[in-house]
Amino acid sequence: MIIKLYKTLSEDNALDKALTTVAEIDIKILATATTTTFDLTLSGDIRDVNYMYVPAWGKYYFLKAPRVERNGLVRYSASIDVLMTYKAQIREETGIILRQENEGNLYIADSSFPVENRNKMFFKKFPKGFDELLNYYLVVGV
Amino acid sequence: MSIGKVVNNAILVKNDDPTQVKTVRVTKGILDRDNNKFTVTEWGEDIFDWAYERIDERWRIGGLSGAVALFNIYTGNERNITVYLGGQDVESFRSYTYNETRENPREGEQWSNANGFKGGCGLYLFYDGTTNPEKPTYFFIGAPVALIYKTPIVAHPVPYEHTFIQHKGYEVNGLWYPYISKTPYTDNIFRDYSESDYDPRKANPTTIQGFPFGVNNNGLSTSKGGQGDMVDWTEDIPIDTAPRLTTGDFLRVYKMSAVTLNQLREKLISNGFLDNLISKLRTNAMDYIMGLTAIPLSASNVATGTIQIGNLDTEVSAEFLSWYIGDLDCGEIDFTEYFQTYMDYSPYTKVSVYLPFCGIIPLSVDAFMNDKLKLTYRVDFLTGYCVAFISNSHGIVTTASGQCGYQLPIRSNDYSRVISSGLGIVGGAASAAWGLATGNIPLAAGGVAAYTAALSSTVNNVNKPDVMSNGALGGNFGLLGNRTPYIIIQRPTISIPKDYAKTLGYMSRISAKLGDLKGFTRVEEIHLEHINASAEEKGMIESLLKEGVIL
Repeated sequence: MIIKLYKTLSEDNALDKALTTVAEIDIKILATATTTTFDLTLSGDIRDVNYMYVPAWGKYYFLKAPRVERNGLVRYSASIDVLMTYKAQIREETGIILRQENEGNLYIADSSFPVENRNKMFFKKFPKGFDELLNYYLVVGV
Repeated sequence: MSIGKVVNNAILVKNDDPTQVKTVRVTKGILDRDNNKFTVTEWGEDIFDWAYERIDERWRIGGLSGAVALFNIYTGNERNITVYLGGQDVESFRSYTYNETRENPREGEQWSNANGFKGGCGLYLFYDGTTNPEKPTYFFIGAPVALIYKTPIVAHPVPYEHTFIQHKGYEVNGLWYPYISKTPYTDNIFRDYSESDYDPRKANPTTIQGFPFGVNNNGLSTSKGGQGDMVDWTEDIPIDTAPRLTTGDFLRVYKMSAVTLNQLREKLISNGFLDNLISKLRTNAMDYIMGLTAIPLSASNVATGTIQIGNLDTEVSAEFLSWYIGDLDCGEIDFTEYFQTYMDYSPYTKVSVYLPFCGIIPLSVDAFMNDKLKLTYRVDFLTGYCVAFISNSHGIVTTASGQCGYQLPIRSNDYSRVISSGLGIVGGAASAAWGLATGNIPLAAGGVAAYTAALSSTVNNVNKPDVMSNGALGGNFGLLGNRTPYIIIQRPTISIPKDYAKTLGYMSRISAKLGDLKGFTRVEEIHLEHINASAEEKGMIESLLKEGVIL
């Protein structure tokens, strides 16, 4: 099965990842492998890869936990990247957005908002108050 | 083939399909039909503009302003026709029905309103379905027409006997078709529900606010709340003018200065005056002097005369109050948002006001944010009592009361009374101190009832104990306090990391298509309906979206 090996610096939770092609090789997958997670071994000559694409399945995978075997091969754990695999369809979905980088509403209370334990106090006088001078009022029966 | 004409700014919508909206922006136009498509060409100078079509389809015609003004029905067939015609502002919808038979043919029937129809207008024209292709029926639409819908009658098999309910939609065979826009009403286009959009929950003519007449429905349930019109209403409540309290000639309140006080004293102790007084009144002059109060406010409602004691004129000139109550306008303070976030409101931002003679009163900042805090005192010069009105630009929000007059002892027993009055207040102050120690913050002197729950929130640092004293300064203690009112605002200190939005995002709570968003996004709830993936993969996607992804 042909796979395309990549190096990516994108975050795992990025929907669209920037990929740098490293190699395109033919490998054999164990018969019991699932399409979501499986192990595969690559030649030790192939270095600096952390991502791959399986054209036959149309799915992208993270390559993690490389382990060097006795025969010089390197075993990787492949786990599906559903975000990259279904990115076009995900973009068509509509949902209720809890938090957003650019579409935030800062008038909604946010318990994660970092607030210091010190308050600022401001004072401001009204333009007018009672007089400095006293007036005397004499109440007299007439 | 040319079949009719429309006026400027008409919008044609064919078969309720918003994609087939055609906006006609011509001074004069002609409506042609070519392979079921409408086109517009230049047209002449006729007074009336017309559009007409065979009545083998249901038509809906609506306008936004000055819409359907004249209808003309021309039939060459045998059928019953009902026309519903009306406008929002001028008159309610009403029906016009006539029976046409071979023996009683009707041609050129017209309905019109001399004033036209303003607001949402409409024409609904139905027939009984007995179409005779050999004798087609036409109707004519008078202009100006802002919007024309054309809906095949097969979409809504509406019998001509159907019940039309004003502003509510219409009922057909027990089904209710409300007029509610499927999309925001921003493009001046009426949009009706089609059969596929019909929602049984909306089938209640008593609660539906139909579009466009009650715009604010938004497709909410009609039977479980959410039907408020959400129309903001408020009425400004100004402070009433001060009552002109007076006792006429029973007693007078003289506005005295230190000079006039001395002049009066000299007069009272002069032999001639005392003899005269005793001979005429047969009593002590001081019995007529009921009190002397020092108030740090000059009464303006005064007249000038001489001081009268009993029926004797002391011949000492002084101003006396025409009525006893006056106002002191302390002005206003503008409140603007400091953070422009929710932090500008309670319980995060706290505001108190120091009121001379009343103490420090906590307020809800929500009542004043982006508004004004106005302070007005109303003073009773007879007793020295005062009431402080705290208001925003719409009305009084809270009040406080106190004693701004210092009762001066002018006789020996007055001095004892003043001292005991002060001791009573000391007792009150001790009570206030105890309240602070126990967390039960007492209210300031009467009239203060604004200690809001906002001050005891548990979010962030707002649950810090509030130990700011209110300290009422009533009685004769009031004069010893500060005489200038001021506000105290407590604001939190925000410490936002540089990449807060990029890493965590701000609270959003909007409904959005993910493809329309950029950057970090955390979904609260979503139904994955467009993804052809396994259940396991869908679960992973939903979980990731709820944890936060970068779009």
